[in-house]
Amino acid sequence: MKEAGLSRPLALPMIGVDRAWRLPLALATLLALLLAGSLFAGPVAVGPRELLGALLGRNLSVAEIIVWELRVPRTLLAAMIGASLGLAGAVLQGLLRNPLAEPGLIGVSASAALGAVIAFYTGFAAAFPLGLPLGGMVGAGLAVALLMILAGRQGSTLTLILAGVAVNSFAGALTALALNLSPNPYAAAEIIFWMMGSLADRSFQHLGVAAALTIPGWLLLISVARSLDALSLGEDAATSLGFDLQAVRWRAVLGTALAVGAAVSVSGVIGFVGLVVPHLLRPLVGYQPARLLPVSALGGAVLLVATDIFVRMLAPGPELKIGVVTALIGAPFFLILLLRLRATSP
Amino acid sequence: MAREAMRGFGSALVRRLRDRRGLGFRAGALALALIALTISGPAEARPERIASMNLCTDQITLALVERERVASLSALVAQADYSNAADDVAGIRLNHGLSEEILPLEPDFVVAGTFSAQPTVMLLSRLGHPTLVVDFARSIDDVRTNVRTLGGAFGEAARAEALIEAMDGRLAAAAGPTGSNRPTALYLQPNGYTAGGDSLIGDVIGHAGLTNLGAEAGISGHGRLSMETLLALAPDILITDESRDRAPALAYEILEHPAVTALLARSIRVQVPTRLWICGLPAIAEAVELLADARRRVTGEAGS
Repeated sequence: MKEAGLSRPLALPMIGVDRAWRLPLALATLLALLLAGSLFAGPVAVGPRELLGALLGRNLSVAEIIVWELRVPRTLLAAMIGASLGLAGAVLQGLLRNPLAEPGLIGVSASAALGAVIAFYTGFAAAFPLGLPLGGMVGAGLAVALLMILAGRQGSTLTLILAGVAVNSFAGALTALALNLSPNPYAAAEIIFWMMGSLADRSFQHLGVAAALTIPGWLLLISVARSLDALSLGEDAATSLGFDLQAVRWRAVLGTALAVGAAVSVSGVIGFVGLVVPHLLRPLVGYQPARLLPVSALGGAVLLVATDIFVRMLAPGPELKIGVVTALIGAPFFLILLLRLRATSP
Repeated sequence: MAREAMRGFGSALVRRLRDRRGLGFRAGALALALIALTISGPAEARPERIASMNLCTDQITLALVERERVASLSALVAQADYSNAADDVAGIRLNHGLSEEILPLEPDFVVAGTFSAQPTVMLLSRLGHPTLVVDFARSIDDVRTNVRTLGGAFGEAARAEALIEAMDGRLAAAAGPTGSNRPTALYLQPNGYTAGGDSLIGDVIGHAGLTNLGAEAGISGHGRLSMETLLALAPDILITDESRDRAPALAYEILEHPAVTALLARSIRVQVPTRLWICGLPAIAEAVELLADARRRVTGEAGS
């Protein structure tokens, strides 16, 4: 059983390789369609011809400004953040061998928000372009490291969730405190952005600073893929196969901190994406952590771009925060998962 | 022993409260007499210890009566971002809408806004202090009404008329040519809030000879515009206020978004300090003049 699990990717027949590519290709196609569709979503109607003209043209029409300065960066940001959350969820679940590990649920996102809030409202972010995502990264990194210490090695699901709840509420409270202490009258009202997340009115500047940290984060996260496969056999087995688990852990922590920290620092906390996506896709990749990572990234992007289109189509009135919608999808899912876990493990 | 002392202290407290109430009743009777005087007598009542609890009534009060007659103003009036009188209130006792700040001053007239601390206003009124609640201004006409109302209450009707006349003179000078083809304007606050129809700011924009796009976009009072709608409206004149000292907030990002910067390349940007029109005051004329200048820049009319 163990041997089969490990050797399958190497000894796959041709037809199997095709099948292995089928899911990523389907997700990539869906993502491409959604990315195109996302450019049409917004309170101002921009028809297909106008959209094409705006994408190609350089005549500074209003449609062009709307498409290039608002919809394109927003769409790309949704895809990037969705991918980060999906990927980080899959890696954390594999690393902690715990189906409930998810950046939002275990307090990593909330801590990233705290870091970003401190960087933003103290003026650090304005003084230095990468200040904002770096703040998010430090917050997320501290939280992941703390959780690894509290519940990392042989911690049960319960330990992890309880530690996560504690980190989550603590970071949330400190965020609210930091915003209340800010001298700006608007700051206190902005708690909701950091807690529920939004992609509204983000620009290429946000995309740029977030991407600068996100891409190294993805590379680190993807680099642990094969070790996660080995880890699914247990720590001893993984060590005996020659994986340096300490190094694997640090790469995963740093990768999560970079990707989730950068995501949260420009969009606030968007929960449940990293929980729902890996769970839906896991059976489709034969429960192999290594194969789960790339499809989780694609799936996360698909989910978040689709949710963001939905949020924008709920016109008129003030836009619903995107984290509200992901929580509406994710929370029932989380409960079902809990019930199933209880049924399988007495 | 200790219990005895406590009881003694307790009954003393009760006695003092009773005395206070007696005082309140007497003040109430006095206030009734004053009101009766206002209604019946030809001689106007002249309150000498006026307490104002609202930024807008603060400033009208200061314009209508001598400083010696002002017992207290709201704390916001000392903040230059919001108040035109920030430099003139040194030495005047400031309140934060709390009964305990107002009561010891024994005001003979209390002015409050609709949004002032309601419990305090009700308490003061119940204790017999003559209280006047002034509605906030939704138009320049409301400004005239409010100034007249307070002028009447303070026994300064002539001064009120003089203030209104001065304001009307400035408004007439700023008014643009009648007819269509008015340049368009949009007021943009942090967070994308704007003023539509049935708002003071909308009325000011109209008085400056401009079309308020906030109203055209279907907003009544104050409301929020999505950035896309804002871009699609493409105003000739974009009105903002960046004079305020700003600590970082996400709310300001809309003013710095590259899309707004691109839009600005085609609009005239005018700064109207918030203090000029956060309240319905005669100072509103200055806001109309600022916007009228911008209108002349768009239409090419001869400036004044």
